[in-house]
Amino acid sequence: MIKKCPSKKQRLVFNYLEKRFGIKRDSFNDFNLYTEEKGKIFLGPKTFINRCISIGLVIARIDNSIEPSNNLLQTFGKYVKKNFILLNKEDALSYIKGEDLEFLQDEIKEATEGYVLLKYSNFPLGCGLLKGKHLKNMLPKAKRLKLEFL
Amino acid sequence: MNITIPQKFKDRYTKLVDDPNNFFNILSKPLQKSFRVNTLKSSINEIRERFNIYGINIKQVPWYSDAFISESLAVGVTLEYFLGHIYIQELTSMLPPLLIIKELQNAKIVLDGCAAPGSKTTQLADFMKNQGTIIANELDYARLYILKFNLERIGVINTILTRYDMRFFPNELEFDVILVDVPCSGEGTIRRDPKALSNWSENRILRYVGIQKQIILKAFDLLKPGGHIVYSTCTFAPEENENVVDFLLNKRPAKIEKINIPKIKLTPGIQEWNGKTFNSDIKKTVRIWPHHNDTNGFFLAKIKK
Repeated sequence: MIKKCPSKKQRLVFNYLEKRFGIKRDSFNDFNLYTEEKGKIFLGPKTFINRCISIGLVIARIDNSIEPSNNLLQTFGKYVKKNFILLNKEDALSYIKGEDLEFLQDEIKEATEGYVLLKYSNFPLGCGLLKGKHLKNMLPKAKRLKLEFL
Repeated sequence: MNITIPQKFKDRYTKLVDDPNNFFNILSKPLQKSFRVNTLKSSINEIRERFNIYGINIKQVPWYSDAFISESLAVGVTLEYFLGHIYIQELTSMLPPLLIIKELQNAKIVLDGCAAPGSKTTQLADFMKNQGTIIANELDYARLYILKFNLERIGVINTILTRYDMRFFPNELEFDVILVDVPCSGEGTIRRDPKALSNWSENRILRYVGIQKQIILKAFDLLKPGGHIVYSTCTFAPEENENVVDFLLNKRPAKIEKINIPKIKLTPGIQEWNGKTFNSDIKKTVRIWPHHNDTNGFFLAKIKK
């Protein structure tokens, strides 16, 4: 059942987003956070009704740690100040297709290990998990596409 | 496109349409491909510029500046589609939110009563700039999943998803605006779905009327005083259109408002069908015939409480 997010959990999410990506808490001022049993964190409107199926966007999941969602990084990507990787055209196409990526040290200098935003030009594409020089593709399967125009 | 138009269908609509030959001819022509710019994430100029670089021809729709026509299938394999900067949507489906664009500026809470796949909900969110609240309701579980997927892709945040039979939606809230794009016999979708008329019969039309009447009454009862409903169907049948709105006028103190969208040909609602005379305000409702604007068929009523 979806309910309002307790303030302790809210602080945890907002602190993570600021520390990891430099997204300021006031970027979310117009909305509220909600949660449910499986640890999903939703960003939704301030009005709430009981017995809803979903609300707004799932922006993260809290298990043992916080996992940011693809929705979050794509929608709020313009506020991301750190831990992003700028992709060239070929890598952007591979990422959108759903492939993992390998980088040279030079290409990931704006990022440390953990969740990162992938960008192409000024466009926030989505989320990946960086470990060493390997990027695990976190784009949900249903969203993957073989693009012809980029 | 190969379609069979039942003779009874022809007889029925020859009585109603201005130019039967053109009407029946266009039904076998495929629908133009259209999309809408999602201004929550992009802009008309940006999309024009990007599609120009790609070499994909797009043409702005004269009656709605956010909408474009493209003959190319490639629209669905562009970066802009992937990012949710555009939403592929049939032109007639863009009309219900467009009718209440002014009312949406001050709307705090809006209900999209039959919301999947989310074309209208995403457009409502765009007009509301992701502010206020939209309740997007859908009974069918599989279609609810598609709705959620589309809302996410477009970056819609101001929406709550519910799963009720719209006829029995709880009376807990009152809304400023309600959209009910009701289940219907779908006669107007034949250019998209060549099988749309394969099970056509007058009995099939009548099967939808009961549920449509219940939905329109429920929507009216959920409205704040001064609030608006847009009732729409993608069918020509007066039983599902004028007849349902007339039913509401007989049951509740509803007012029908004039619909005015420049540069699109709209045909006023009819006053009489099969011996039944409708309220004179029913002529403020509109039918969109496919051969008038090269679209699907559609019906719209704007109702005020």
